[in-house]
Amino acid sequence: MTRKLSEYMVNQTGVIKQILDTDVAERLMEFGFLPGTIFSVISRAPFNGPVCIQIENNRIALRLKEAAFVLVE
Amino acid sequence: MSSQPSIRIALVGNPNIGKTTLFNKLCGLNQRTGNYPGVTVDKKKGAANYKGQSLEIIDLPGINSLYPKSKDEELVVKYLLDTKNEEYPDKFVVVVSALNLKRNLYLLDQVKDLNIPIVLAVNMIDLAEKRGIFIDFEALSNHFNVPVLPISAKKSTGIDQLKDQLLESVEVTERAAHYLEEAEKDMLSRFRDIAFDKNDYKVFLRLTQNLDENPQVQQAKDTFIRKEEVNLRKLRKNAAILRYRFVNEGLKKALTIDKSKAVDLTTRADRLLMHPIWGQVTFLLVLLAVFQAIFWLASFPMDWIDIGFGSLAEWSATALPEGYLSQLITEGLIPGIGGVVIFIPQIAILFFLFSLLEESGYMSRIIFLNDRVMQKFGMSGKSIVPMISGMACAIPAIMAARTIENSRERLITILVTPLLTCSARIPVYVLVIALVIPDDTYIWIFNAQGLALMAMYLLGVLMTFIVALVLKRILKPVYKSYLLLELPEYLIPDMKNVLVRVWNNVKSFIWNAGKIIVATAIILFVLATNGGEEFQQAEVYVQENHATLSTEEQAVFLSSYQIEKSYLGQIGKTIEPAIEPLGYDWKIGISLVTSLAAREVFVGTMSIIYAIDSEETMTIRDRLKKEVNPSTGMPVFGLATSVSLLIFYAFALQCMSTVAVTYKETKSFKWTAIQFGYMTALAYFGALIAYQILS
Repeated sequence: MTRKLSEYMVNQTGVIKQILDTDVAERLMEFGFLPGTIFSVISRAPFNGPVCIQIENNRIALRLKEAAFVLVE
Repeated sequence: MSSQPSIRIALVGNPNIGKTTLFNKLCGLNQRTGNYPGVTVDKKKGAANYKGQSLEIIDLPGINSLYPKSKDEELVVKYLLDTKNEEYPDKFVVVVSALNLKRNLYLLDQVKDLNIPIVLAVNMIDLAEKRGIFIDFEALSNHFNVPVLPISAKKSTGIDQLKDQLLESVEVTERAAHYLEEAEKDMLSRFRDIAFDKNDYKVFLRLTQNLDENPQVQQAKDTFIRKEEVNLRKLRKNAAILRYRFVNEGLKKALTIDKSKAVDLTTRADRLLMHPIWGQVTFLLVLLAVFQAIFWLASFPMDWIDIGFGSLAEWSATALPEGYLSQLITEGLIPGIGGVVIFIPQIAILFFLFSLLEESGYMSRIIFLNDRVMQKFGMSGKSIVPMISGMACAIPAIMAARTIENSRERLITILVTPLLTCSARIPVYVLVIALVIPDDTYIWIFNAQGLALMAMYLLGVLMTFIVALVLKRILKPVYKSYLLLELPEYLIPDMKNVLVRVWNNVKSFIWNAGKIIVATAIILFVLATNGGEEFQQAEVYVQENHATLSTEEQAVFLSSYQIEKSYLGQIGKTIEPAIEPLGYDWKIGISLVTSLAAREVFVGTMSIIYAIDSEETMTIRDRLKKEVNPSTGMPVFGLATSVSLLIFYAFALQCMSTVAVTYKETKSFKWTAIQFGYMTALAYFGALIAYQILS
């Protein structure tokens, strides 16, 4: 089942399946959001603030809006 | 000294990889940053001498890729592509962190395709070993076909080897475009007829992003894209995937990680520091500590400076021979310089703490924690950095807004930042507050003057957010805003970096703000001690018309008559009708005019006007308290006037350096004028309302 990255809670992990075609898509990919990559959620800021994702040895913060463009299987 | 021309070397790399540490290691204090006015790229330049060869080193701001998303990145990419420039570097050092090879090598892979001479420096090898990260540098070098040097900038390992490498010539080897699929290659070669460049990758960049093309080329490009149905976004996405594939192949050969040695302190620390509740609590504590340090800790050296300059002026008054020049030094120049020097402790402390926060990696967490709140006000989490530095000085703050990608969020941040209470306002606040609240007044356990000062700070913050909210309503978003931020590993700050940064900032503050303040002090003094005919005839006038007064009384009357008739007095008198509704007289008017250059000049002006006005030596505060309105017999600095003055100084943009830096950063006369206009309007009407209610 496909879920959005933005729906993942702290400490959950998953494998990125696809990046939806939007303006930030290439930037997300440049930051390492590539299909097949394993990630885990480190933290979510309060009041629906940004999420912090760990990809390999990198921690990357992004807003929920952008996290919704990342599909996970 | 060698007669050979120096080798120009530029450092390129992602943010947070220790590039600046390397730069400091290479050139020490022998460096300078482009000054605020007049430069397009804020590039740090340094010089070094190695084995008789002089090196010129340029530290470029950190970038994520050659597809710029912020002003900062845009400047660097333009610089890298400008190969025809006379000052184009001879060599580039691409700096990567051993802790974050994959993402950093992605940038190397892009830069490599520009076919420029590159040396790869892999930094932080000391930390990598501790984490169980082992790198086969030869395999890395073979894969990317560049010389690779392992270094630790912090521990000074490998620096000489790097310098040796820089003295040698670097061969540029071209390689096939692995970032393109076969069909795309054919398409690109057709595009080359439109935008010719020897270099394939530059042709690709010109196709896939908007570089300033001439209108003809741009038109041909648009037609080409339409006719060939080129999907630019797909091209860019594909290129990213293919590049990462190439980087991964290299890492498979060159990188081994011993997982048993990996201790992830950062993740553990982040559980607390980025926790929804504890993270915010920690942030507030850090903020509190920063402000405590700026105000409480800085107050000691500031007192010494204040006393020091006071006695210096007194000493020079007695030591120098009497005359106009000595008077200029004692009453114009010394207080003027003192007015600049007094801010050094605060600015030094602020930048010291800021560098600590940034070097340790905590600053990115602050951005993460505050993004949501700042979004509500049309800004980004990244706006928090300019806003905190705005509490010391708006000039570096406005420049710090460069890292904000979204143009609307950046513009709002720039426009509102000068409303925050910068340190130049403090002396004005302190002086005026002391006029209405006696020293030893306490409200419960709090000093009343301190509370009033805090209220002024809150007023600034409140107005900042109100104006931001209004701007958010007015300004339509042009681009979608997003936040994509790498949170670096926590590291112990490098003290040399921290101190060099403090030094650079203090130096540029003294130079930039200092010039204006000292110049104003001198012009002011000249205007106050010269005048038209009435001024020159003052002595005769007083002797003729006030012959009944004693000699002493005549002297006092003469000096106050002189200041009134001086050029400065005339200016004050001219604007008096406009400022009378705010409760100000012409003397305050003079101070308002001179504060247009810089706010802190207010205190200096007041002391110059009143010192010139009277022969007695008395502190400026006591002088002002005694000042009486000749028509009403009431003190000039009553509650209403003082509050009105405080509000005026809270909102008015009385700082030419800020105006200059806003213009430079927005490149827009319109927004510079709007910023100046709205702040002046807020100041005038705020002060007007306050005075009319209170009087």
